[in-house]
Amino acid sequence: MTELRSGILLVEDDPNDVFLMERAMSKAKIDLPIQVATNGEDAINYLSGQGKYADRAAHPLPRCIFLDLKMPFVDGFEVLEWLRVQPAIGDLNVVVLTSSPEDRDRERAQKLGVKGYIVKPPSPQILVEVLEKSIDGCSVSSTPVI
Amino acid sequence: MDCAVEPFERVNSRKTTFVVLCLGTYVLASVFAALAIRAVEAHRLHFGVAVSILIVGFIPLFSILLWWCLAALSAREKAARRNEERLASMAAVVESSDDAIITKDLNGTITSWNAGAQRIFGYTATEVIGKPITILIPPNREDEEPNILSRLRRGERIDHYETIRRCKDGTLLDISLTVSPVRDSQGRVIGASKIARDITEVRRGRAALERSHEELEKHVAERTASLRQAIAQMEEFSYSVSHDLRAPVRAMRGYAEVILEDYGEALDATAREYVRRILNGSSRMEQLIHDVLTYTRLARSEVILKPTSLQKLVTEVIEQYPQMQPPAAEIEIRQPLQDVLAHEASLTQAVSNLLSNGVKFVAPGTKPKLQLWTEAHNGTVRLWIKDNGIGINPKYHHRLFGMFERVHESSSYQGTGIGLAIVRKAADKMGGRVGVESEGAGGSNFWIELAAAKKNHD
Repeated sequence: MTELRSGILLVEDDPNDVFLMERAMSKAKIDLPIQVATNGEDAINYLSGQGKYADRAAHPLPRCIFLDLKMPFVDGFEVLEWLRVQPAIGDLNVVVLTSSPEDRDRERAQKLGVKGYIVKPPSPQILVEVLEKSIDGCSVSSTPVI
Repeated sequence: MDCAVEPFERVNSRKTTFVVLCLGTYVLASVFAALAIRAVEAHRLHFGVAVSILIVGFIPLFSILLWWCLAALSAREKAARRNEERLASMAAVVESSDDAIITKDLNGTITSWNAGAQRIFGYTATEVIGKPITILIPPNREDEEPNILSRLRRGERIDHYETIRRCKDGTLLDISLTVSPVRDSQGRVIGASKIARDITEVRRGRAALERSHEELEKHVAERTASLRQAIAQMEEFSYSVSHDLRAPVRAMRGYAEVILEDYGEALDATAREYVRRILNGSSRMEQLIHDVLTYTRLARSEVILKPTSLQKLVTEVIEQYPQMQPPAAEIEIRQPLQDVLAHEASLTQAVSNLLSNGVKFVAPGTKPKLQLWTEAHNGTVRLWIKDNGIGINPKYHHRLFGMFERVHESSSYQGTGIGLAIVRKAADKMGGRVGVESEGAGGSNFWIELAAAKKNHD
C-alpha cells in the first residue's frame, strides 16, 4: 500500500530552532508545507496517525523528516528505532538536524539509516542540497534509494 | 659419625701391638741374657760371646721399635683429639642451631633432640627421647609419617617439605622439614636426621603480602572505576555542551541575523551596530564552543596511526577552504611531501588549523603566501609551514600552544585561542611534536613533526 506523501515533518522541541528552520526554508525558496512535531512521542503519534493526527488528509505522511536528536520524553534515536519496525510506513527519508557534532551521534544515526546529518544551524544552501537528494529518492514507488 | 669412630679403634689396636712387642722384646732379651750368664758361668766362652752379641744387637732394634711405636702413638692421639674437637664443635653447632635437629630410628622413635627442637616444640630432650615422633604430628596429618618413613627406607631425602606440627602446648606451627637418611658403616639406613624450621612467621609474612597485594589490586580496580566514571562524566558533560549549550547561542545569533536582514532598514546606524555586536559575540561564542568540543573530542579519542600521504591530506585541506586558494591566498607546496604515520582525522584537524592561522594572521592589505615542505630526520618527518604573516614575538612562543592563549589583540584578529592547543593535542596523541620559529616580524615558520611512514636515516 502506498499513500501519497507530501511536505516535511520537522521534529524539534526548541521553538527558536523551529523558527530559524522555517526561515532558512523560506530563504532557500523551498515551497513545501512544514508540519511540526515538538518531541519524539509527538512524531510517533503523527507518523502512526494517532490522536490529533488521525486525519491523514490534514496530516499526511511526509516526504522527508528533519529530526532533532535530543528531545524530552522520546528522543530522536528512539524515533529512528521505532521507524525501523514500522512496515506500514515503509521507507521514509530522515535527515538528522542536531546541535551535536559528536562522532558517536553521527555514527549511530547512520547505522539507523538516516539520509543526511546536518549540524545546526542549517544554511539555506545545505537544506536545498539535502532536500534535492532526499525528495528525489522519496518517490511514491517502493524502490529504495541509497 | 661412623667415620669418626673408626680411627679411635685403630689407635687402640696399635697401642696393644706396641705393648705386646715391648714385652716380647724384653722377654727375649732376658732369656738371651740368662743364657749368656749361664754360658759364662759354665766357661763356654764362645757361646757366651755369641749370646752377648745377640743382646747388644737387640738393644738398637728394641730402641728403633720403641721410637717407631711412640711416634705412631702420638700421631694417632693427635688425630683422635682433632676428631673429638670436631665432634664437639659439630655437637655445638647442632645444639646452638635455631632449627630443630632431631634424629629418629626407622620405627619413628626419637633418638636425639637439640635445643632448637626444645625451643620450637617445647619438649625437653629427656621428655621425648625414646618417644614416637608422632607426638609432634597433628591428628589430621598422621598419614604423613608412614609416607616419610617408607621414603627414608628407600634412601630418599625429603627437602623443604612444608607442613604443620604440634607443640607440647598444642599450638600448631607451620614448619619446613628436611629429612635425610642416616646410614651405618655398611651403608644401611638405620634412621633419619630431621631438620625442622619454624616458618610460621614466613607464612604469616607471605599471607600478609598476598593480602596487601589483593588490597592493592582492589585499590587499582576502584581507582580505575572512578577514573572511568570521571571520563564518562566528562563525556556526558561535553555531550550536554554540544547539545544544550549551543541552542541559546544559536538562537541569539539567529535572531540577530533576522533583525539585521529583515528590519535593518528600520533601525538607525547605532542600533544596527549594536545588533552586529550581538551577532559577533554570539558567533564568537559558537566558535568557542565548537573549538572546545573539538579539543575535548580529540583528547578522548582513540588514535590509531596509519601511513598517511601528507601530499593528499594537505591538498584536500586546501580544497576545502576558499580562503586558502587563489586569489585569496597562495600556498606553494615543495614536492614531494613525505608520508607520515598519523591518524588522518587528527592530522587533518592540525594541518587545517595551521594553514588557517597562516592565511589569517597577515598584515592588513597583504596577500597571504605560504610555503610547505617536509624534512626527514632519524625516522621522523617534519612538515614546515612558512608564512608571510605578522610573526610572533619570541617571548610569547612558550604560551602559543596553550589553551585559550592569544598573542594578538582580539580586535585585530578573530580567534578563540584554542586552535594551536588543538594542533598540539593532535600531535601529542600521534606521538609527535609541534613548534614555531619566528623573530616577531617577517612571518613565522610553524612545524609539526611525526614518525615517518617509511624508515629514513638522513
